[in-house]
Amino acid sequence: MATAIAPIVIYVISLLVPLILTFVGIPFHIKYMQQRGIFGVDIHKKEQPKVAEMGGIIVLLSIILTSLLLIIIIKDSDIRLTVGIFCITITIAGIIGLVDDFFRLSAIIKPLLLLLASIPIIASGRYIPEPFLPFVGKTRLTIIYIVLLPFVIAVPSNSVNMLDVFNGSMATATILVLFAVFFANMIIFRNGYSELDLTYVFIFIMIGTLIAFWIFNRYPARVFAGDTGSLTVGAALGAIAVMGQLEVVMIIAMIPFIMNSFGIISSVKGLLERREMVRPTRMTSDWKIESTGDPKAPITLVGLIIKKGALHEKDVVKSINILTFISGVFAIITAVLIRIVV
Amino acid sequence: MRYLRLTPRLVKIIGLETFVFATFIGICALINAVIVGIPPEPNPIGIAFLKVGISLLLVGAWLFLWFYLTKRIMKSKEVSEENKK
Repeated sequence: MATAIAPIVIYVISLLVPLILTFVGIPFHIKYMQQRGIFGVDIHKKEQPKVAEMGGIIVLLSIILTSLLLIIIIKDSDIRLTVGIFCITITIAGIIGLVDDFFRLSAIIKPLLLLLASIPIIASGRYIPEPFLPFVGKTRLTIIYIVLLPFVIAVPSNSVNMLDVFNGSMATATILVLFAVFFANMIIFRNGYSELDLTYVFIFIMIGTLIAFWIFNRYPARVFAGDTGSLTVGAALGAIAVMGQLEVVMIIAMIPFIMNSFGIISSVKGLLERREMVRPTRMTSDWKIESTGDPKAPITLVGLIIKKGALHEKDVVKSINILTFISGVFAIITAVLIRIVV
Repeated sequence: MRYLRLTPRLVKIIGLETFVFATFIGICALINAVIVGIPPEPNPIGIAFLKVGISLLLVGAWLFLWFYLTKRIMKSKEVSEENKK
């Protein structure tokens, strides 16, 4: 695909612009939210600090602005359309998150609405219904693929949303997933720097914005992502999987996320909002996180992590990172096994 | 706490992750060895549907196994806590 600007320049822009926009935007957002009294109480700290909510708005805006910039500077209309579709898809998810942050959607309505986020991809045909499987290589699914496609967006969105419970957990874990997918894409498609690969562009946009967001969201957090942030990031992972033909790699890289969702859904026997569930954790006297042991509480990945004893919030996040790193390695092995036959 | 000191606490979850990954790779190898090799005759369209159907069933079984094991491991936590009481 021909572009007026060298692909390497596009890659650098894709990484740096969202990073700078988010880094500059979040402090203003924090100030604005604190002034308006829109904050959440960080219950995992002794001081119970009031932390600005909905930092995901800046993440979403950074992605939208970067996408618009790319649409302006890239001359190829096909690439422009693909960037636009990626942007629209995650904007829909982000808006659903924003509505949820303000009006509290039910646990059934939210995933149903998220299924709609895939409409731009389906309508524009920006997908190839030929996912790659290890050993098998390219498969052809056509009709079944279109049926499953909405779930490829909705499932990661909800999974990321369910794991966004501690300072920095969502940002670091998704950055690890994105790095794994980056290397997997490199292994499967072996694209050089001479041609523009939009999968890299989307990965760089997400890594850029998430690194900047993590700086403010890491322990002790100054801003929370809210559902706007987690649904935006989750939808972006789904969109990258579909548009980059990396569906299987993404599923493997997201094993800890999916495991967490499985646990919650199976234990509460259906879809329930976080606020409707019994709290699975409580704080010890030395401000570590321990299990409540309440049989009515959802069974989560964090519950498994703290099974052998209470842990500090930072250590719980580190544990999630270890698990995501391992699944990332598995995703790269999957890519190698795909590459053998492609 | 350092990453290396945390890792031993996570052995069970890492084991589940590894098992999920290994079974998936196993299913793919099975699809490649058996299902891909089914000759398309006498009805190429029907056989193609059959191949996709069996493959999806296997992937569905994998997802169910994953779901079941996650539930099982997580449930064992509840049981051990109830026993403590």
